[in-house]
Amino acid sequence: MLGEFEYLLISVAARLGENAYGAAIREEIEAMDRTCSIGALYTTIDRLEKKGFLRTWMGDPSPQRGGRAKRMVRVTKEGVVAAEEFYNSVMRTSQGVSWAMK
Amino acid sequence: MISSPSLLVKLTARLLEPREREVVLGDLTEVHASSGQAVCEVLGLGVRRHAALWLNWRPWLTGPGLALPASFLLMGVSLSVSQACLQLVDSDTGSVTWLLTQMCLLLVWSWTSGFVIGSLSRRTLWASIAMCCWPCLVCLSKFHLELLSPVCLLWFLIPAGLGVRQGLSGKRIRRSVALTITTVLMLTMLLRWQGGAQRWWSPPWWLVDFVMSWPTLFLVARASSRAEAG
Repeated sequence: MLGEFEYLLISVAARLGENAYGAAIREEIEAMDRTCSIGALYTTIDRLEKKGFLRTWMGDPSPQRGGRAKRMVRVTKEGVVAAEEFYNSVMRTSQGVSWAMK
Repeated sequence: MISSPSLLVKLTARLLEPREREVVLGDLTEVHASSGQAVCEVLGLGVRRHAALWLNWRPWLTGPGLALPASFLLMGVSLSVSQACLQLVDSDTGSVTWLLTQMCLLLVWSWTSGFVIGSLSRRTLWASIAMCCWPCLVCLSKFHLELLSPVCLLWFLIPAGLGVRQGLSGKRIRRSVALTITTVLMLTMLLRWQGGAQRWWSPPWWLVDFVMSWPTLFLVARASSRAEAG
């Protein structure tokens, strides 16, 4: 079962698709009014990769990064299944509660 | 705004592994993080990474479990060797056998302890070194023997340092070599037990032997056959 931040990270990575990497994921998360430190981001990415829900690899260096490489992220099939389970679980448990009916 | 991370950021980033350092510095450059913010971010990740290392048993075994007690005990053995040398030089009451057995034990115990520390705690080596330095500094500050220099407490650091280097290199010891070292150690301890005379400073040697021998057993357990060692 995923944690809330893990679900958030997988969702953002899935939405970004081929452009999912550390800084882009962080920017997306912060755009949702969530704070996301680099420490939280990369330790969560590592944890999800260990669980087999993400795959990461080093991308090409780019000039706007001072010639440094990106850590690219892709959601695996297992990651998609885990995210679906989390989403369905939240939807099921939220039925009939006041905040979900607004 | 930074086009290239400041020296302080780069220094802080030394806390991270090279691959991760590259990625994080790239991320910070891309979002134009201020130097202060970048240092906080890198420090946050570095602390998390180093804290995570302590969830494993290895740093606990090599730091508080080995480096700390072994430093005290090996300083005792180093002192014992120096005293035996002094006795041999100054008077005829010294025993050559005792001196040789103590020297042999000092070399083997120090080297094997260093090897275990280097093999098991590469990324937390700094903590093991700190736990070795602390008893050394305490003992050096309290050392007051007229005929001996405080440096005589630290003989063990030379073979221990060589052991750490060997451990860090990741090279495996051949089983035949490990078994030879263990046999020599056991025989030397037996020899000392038989010929132990009263010394100036005499710790409970059975305790020293017991605590200091397990790194040698680790050496045997980790040793590879000739074919594996290549």
